[in-house]
Amino acid sequence: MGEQELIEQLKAGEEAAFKQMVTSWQDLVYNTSLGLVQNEMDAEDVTQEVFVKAWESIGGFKGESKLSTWLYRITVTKSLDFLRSRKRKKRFAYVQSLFGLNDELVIDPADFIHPGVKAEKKEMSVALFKAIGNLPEQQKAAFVLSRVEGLNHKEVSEVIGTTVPAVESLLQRAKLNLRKNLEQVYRKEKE
Amino acid sequence: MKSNNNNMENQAENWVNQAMESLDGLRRASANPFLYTRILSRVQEANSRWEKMARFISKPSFAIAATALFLALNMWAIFQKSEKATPSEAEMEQLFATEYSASNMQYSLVDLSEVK
Repeated sequence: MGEQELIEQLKAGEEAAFKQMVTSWQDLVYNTSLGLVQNEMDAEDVTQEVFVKAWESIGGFKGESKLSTWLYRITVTKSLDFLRSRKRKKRFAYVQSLFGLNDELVIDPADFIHPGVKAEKKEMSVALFKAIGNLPEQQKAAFVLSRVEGLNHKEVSEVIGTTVPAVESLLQRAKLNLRKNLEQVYRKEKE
Repeated sequence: MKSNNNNMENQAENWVNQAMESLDGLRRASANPFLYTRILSRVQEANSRWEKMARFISKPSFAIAATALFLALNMWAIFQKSEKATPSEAEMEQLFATEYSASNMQYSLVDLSEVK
């Protein structure tokens, strides 16, 4: 089935078409979300939300971009929303603990190891993912799309909705920030 | 001393480079094989009447409209009550008369110049 035909069937509410969309792009959505939220259960939750959103709003899809680009856009938006809400909850729990209203400990998540990283590079990737987590949103999205999903600059620009030079600049700044962050981690470990 | 510092710098740079290259050759992570079933049940859940109603009620526009309606009803009730509670002039005179005739107190006018 061609993409245009699939879109028409999706707009007609065909369940078979929805199943095809999910099975064709579930790994794309899951892997992108995993790179951003850095937790397997949360990434699965976001993936589910992305497809529910896609099913609900397919009527508004104008076909100006590829279906995969549209799914990438929803994934990035939902993942960043999730990260913001997690940050808010963490801050709220911390404030509550200051006033003695919350006795539960605020536990930092365990080190994240992406399942697709080569065995010999796993240890080093933990530090890199931690540093990615500290990047500003736009830089984080551009870096994950480029390095975790392997998109080229033009594809990243289509997902983020910006120009290719802007993506190049975002990636350049992201790499500089990551290097700075990693250097600090190294020095702290050596102290 | 200087060579020690240089050595440290080199080690740090090597470590950072290794970390930066740790995503080279990364394979795409695979989603749970039961993902479609879970998504489908979520879609069906989202389409249920109660869920739609809950989503409608939780919209900020609904909350604002409900609050405005509540305040308007309260204001209306307060105005209604205050209109009824204000007695007319005749009612005031009646109330005054009742108040004083019900009392056993004797009232007489005293000429203050005679008090001296």
